[in-house]
Amino acid sequence: MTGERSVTIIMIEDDEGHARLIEKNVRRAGIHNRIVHFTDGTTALDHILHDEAGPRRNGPALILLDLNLPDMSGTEILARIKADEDLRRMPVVILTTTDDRHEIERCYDLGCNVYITKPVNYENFATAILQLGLFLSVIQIPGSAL
Amino acid sequence: MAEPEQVTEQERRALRGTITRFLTVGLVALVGIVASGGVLMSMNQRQIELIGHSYQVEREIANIRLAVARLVAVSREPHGRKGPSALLARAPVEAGLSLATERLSDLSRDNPRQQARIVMLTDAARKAERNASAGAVLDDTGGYLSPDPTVLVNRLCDVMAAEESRLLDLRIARLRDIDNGLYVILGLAGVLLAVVGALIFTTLRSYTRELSASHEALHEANEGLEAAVQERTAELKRANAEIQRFAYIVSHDLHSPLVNILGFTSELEAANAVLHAALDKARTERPDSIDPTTCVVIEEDMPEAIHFIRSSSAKMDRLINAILELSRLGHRTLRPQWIELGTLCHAVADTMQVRLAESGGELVLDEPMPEILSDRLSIEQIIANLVENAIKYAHRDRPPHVRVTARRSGPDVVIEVADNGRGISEKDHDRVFDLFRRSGPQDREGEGIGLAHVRGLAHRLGGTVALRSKPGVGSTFTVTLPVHYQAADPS
Repeated sequence: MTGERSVTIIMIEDDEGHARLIEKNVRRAGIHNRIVHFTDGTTALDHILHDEAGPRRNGPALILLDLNLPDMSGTEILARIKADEDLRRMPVVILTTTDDRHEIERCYDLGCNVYITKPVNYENFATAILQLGLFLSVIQIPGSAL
Repeated sequence: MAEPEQVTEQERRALRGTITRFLTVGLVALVGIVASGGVLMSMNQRQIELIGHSYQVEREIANIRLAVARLVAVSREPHGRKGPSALLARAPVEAGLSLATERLSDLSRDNPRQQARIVMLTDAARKAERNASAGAVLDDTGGYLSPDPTVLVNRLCDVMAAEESRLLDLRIARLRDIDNGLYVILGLAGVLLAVVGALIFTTLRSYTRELSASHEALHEANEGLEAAVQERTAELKRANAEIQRFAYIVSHDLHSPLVNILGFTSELEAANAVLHAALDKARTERPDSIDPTTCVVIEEDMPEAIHFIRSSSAKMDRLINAILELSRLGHRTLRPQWIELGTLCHAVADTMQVRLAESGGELVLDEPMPEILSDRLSIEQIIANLVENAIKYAHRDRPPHVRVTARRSGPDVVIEVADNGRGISEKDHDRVFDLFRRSGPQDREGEGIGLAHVRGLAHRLGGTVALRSKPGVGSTFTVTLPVHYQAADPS
């Protein structure tokens, strides 16, 4: 999984605690890819779309996206990514507290690849992240040597 | 709205008064006119009679003159014809004269002056008769030997005729006056009727105008009221939607920190397990080095703290989920459809089989049940919640027996869920329908959401829910829903 063009995980999550728990559990699942963390939508979008070190120039990436961000809605970020010719194949995993049916449908309509509800129960949460880790270890991401 | 009605009532009373006054005045005037008309008519009649009387008197006077003239003529006949033939010719003339004087006397009984004259006339007439029968009244020159009674008769007749003619003129003049009076009165009556009619007409017309104006005002007020109601309803709906949205956002935002609390509690637990392991290892390897306080912290205090954080957070999570669920149901669009309540209750009963088996209880569905046009999911949830409660809050001495009935009642369907459970104390009958409120010993799982949910659903379907219960005997929940669910305005 390591390698020159290994997948970078871009985590957009405003809650530091959640970010930390996600990271811990992703690591526990045996995923050791680089994780870049953003706590707001503007900086994250800037990195994804324009940064020299971002996914546009620097190889494959996977987005872990929370929908409730302080400065914008996660669905907007999702829409921007899926509208970009270069980046639209990049997998986006929505990881959020909302389990509203309409919201989930909307995310899939916009092209999200996986939608995971953050369970409050920690065991379930850990299991979900673990499954995400397993998912990350088997999926093929375009342009990568995962 | 009370004020305009009062005004109208007052106006109505005033109008009634006005019309009654007009009618009374008109009626009194009419009665007066009729009465005076009657009086005038009888006066008229009297005058006509009097005039006829006068003519009769005149006629009799004329008869007397004629009789006297004949008498004179008979007595002037040549002497040769005197004798029985002259007597024969004189007899009817004399009879006519006495008859005429008698009639005249009868006719003039009311007039003393004429009466006096008649006495003289009768007297003169008799003399004339006598003279005529004597045959020696006239000499050859035609002069009178004694004053000629016929002349007296004629003169009296002239006087009486003059008197009667005066009376006749007077009576005719009176008759004309009476006729004129009648015309005047008729004219007055006509004018009066016209005036009263016109007054009533104008009053009625103005009243009708006022009536239609007040009707219009009422109509406007009604429309205003309707608009006000609609406005309030819209406001309420907005407020309700706001509360729903608020509940949704709050419960969502509360979720995030809870994820952290529970997550890091688990991390702490994992850390505690590590410490526990280290402590166990130390116990076997270097028992002397162990501080008993450390043992208590690692083995008792930390697990206890973690346990409380966990259970409290878990409870908080359930409450938040409940609010979230309720607010979500509030958002849900109701989809009315025809539902066979019997079939629906059977489906609900199927989901309760496990619980029923556990409790050893029994669920009876009273069939047949009516149909209802309403939201299926809502009704399912109402019945499921009530049945579940009935099983859950069974009396500790007996297995639950739950009976579900449904019947039509006018425009409603009444669904009842009755149990033989532990019952609900009177003071809690309202409270149990509040969110997070429960009744009786808190020995069963639950957050106090079910009945709040049932009530919310019943209200949304345009119905109500009521409770009858006796502690230790059982409870009956009655849900009344309209047969035809009417969706509120889309606005």
